[in-house]
Amino acid sequence: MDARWLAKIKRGVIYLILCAMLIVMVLPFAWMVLSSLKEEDEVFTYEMSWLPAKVTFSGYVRALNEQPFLRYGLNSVLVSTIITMAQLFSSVLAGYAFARLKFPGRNLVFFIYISAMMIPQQALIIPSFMLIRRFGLVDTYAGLTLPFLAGPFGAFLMRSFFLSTPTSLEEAAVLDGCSRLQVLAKVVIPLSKPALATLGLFTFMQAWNDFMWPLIITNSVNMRTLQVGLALMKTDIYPDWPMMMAATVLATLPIIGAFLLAQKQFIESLAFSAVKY
Amino acid sequence: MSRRPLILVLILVLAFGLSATAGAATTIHYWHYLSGDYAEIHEAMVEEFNALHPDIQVELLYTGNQFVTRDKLIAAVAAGQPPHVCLVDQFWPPLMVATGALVPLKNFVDTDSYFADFNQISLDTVTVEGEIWTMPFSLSNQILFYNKDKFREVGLDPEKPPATWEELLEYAKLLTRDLDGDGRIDEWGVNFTTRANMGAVYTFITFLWQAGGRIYNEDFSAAAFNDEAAVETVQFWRDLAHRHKVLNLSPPQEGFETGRIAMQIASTSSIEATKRKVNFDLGIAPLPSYRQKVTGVGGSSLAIFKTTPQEEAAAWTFVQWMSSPENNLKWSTLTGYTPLRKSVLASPEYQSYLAENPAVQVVIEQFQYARARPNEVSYADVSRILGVAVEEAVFGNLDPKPILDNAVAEANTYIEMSK
Repeated sequence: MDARWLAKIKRGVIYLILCAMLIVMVLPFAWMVLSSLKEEDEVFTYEMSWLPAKVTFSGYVRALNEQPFLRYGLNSVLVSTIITMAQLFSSVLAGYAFARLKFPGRNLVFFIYISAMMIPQQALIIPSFMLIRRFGLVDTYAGLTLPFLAGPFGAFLMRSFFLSTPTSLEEAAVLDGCSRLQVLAKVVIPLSKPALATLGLFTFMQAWNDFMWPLIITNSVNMRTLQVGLALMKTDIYPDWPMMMAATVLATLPIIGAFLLAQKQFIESLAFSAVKY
Repeated sequence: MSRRPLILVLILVLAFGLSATAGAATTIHYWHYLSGDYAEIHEAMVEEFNALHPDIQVELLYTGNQFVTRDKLIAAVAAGQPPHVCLVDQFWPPLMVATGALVPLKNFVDTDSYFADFNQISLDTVTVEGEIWTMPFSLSNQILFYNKDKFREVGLDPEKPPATWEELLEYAKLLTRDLDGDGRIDEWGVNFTTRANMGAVYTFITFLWQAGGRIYNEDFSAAAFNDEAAVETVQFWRDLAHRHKVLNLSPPQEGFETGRIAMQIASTSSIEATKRKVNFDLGIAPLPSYRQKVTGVGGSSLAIFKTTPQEEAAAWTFVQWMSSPENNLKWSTLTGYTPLRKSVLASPEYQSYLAENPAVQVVIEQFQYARARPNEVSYADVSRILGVAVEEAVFGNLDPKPILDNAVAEANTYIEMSK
């Protein structure tokens, strides 16, 4: 009896903390959405008001019309998708090699590779820029994506995941006559959906939210991504807040979509992996 | 046999490529950070230039506000791919000169005679180590915006803005009010930027100069912002915020425009925008002063970056055109920026504009007290350190003296390095 009450209280406390965190997370988001529906002079009224006096979508109209916003969105989708696909591909191969293949100096190479995670992106920006300039790829999709197609974090994550999975299924597949690549494609990857979903989500979010690189590598309006477009809306004198908030809402939707998609993947893969080893 | 078509294609491509470059105009990439109406006026000027100069095509690119543009420009310069021309804020030239990427204007012209028509303060802002590096484009200074309606509400004469620090404090005390009696202040007396990363130092040094203080010593060999005047200035800011509670350190967004702040120190460059934004009786006054009358100078200039001689020459044609007497007159009367040229200031067109715009008259009268920031290579670091020190003392409500002493010591290491 006591133990059950204790458990209930514990659960109650956890829910309270979770609710508090939820409010902290949701409030700015709600403010963003509500501001996007206001008239321009209503955002900073004397008495702070949450709800718009009159719901208007003019902020959205301005966001879509005043800049080539759809073009920015298309660029962001394209760039983030290319980077995510390439990262998944390269990370699976690298992670699998570091986890399963035996070759001399494997651990040393891996150690050196993941050491690169210690270098902050800011320190890499100028050298990467110089490299891309030498390749003549400034202001191109190749220039936007090339530095992010493979990375140590993905290899590290996939390697850790592969190391934590038992080798028995792979051995069985080898006995059945599969080659290395067939084992990878038919056994390992289907079992790795949670890890792939995690990595895919991380990469997509990072690519989607990246600002500094697209800012410096693009020199024409048509190559800009959403984050650059959003930053350019914040002008020195009197930014149009409802427009900015509307644009931010639109720019956030794909990330929410990606989350929902990945969440479905998590649940499915949990169901799949209920196999007794 | 099979290679021949390929060679043919190559020849064709080369031929087309060459013929295309031979007949084409020189393209000048020009980055800027202007927004709103100013951007439209500015864009129209660039379009007019392109129409009048078929051999030069200026491609205008808005690269975000000043902070974003500076990040992009510094990265581009570091990577060796700057634009041909960039609009730069008043305190960037020393930094840009230090990178070695700028073309000094003496490469194009005898600067002494060419700039004889420019007023001295506009040249002060673009001179680094005795040489003129960028073309002055717009010139602003700091003024006091105030809400005449609020002055009337508290019984102040709306035609008598504060003239001294003392009056500023006195008025601010009257204008800071708790309207609903809940113990929380609803309307604040005065506002200016106090956060270091938002450029508080630009306002601070004006106060410092008014108090008789200075940033560097006589020969710029060391920092000097820890003397009595500097301590007094920081103390004044600290008292406004903590002792008298008339300055809100986290002011409401657009507080002045929405009537929650009665007086605000800001740049003349926002006069036209503020006029349109507010729906109360707007007052514009010279800055309140202390021991000396001083206002800080801001504005921007056009920098030419090293490329090919042909492109640099085209860039020079363009920047000259932007600040020509005709265009400077146009820019000054359409925006409220101060004329760069003596001939423009004296012109009948400008004088009649002043007669119609008494607010701008205030700006022009105040201009004799304008002072430019020192164009030292170390200024970017020294001003950053000073800004952070002021912020620390004001936000932390701390004794300014030891903080300024430490900051001077830190600044001196940068001054040392820059020599």
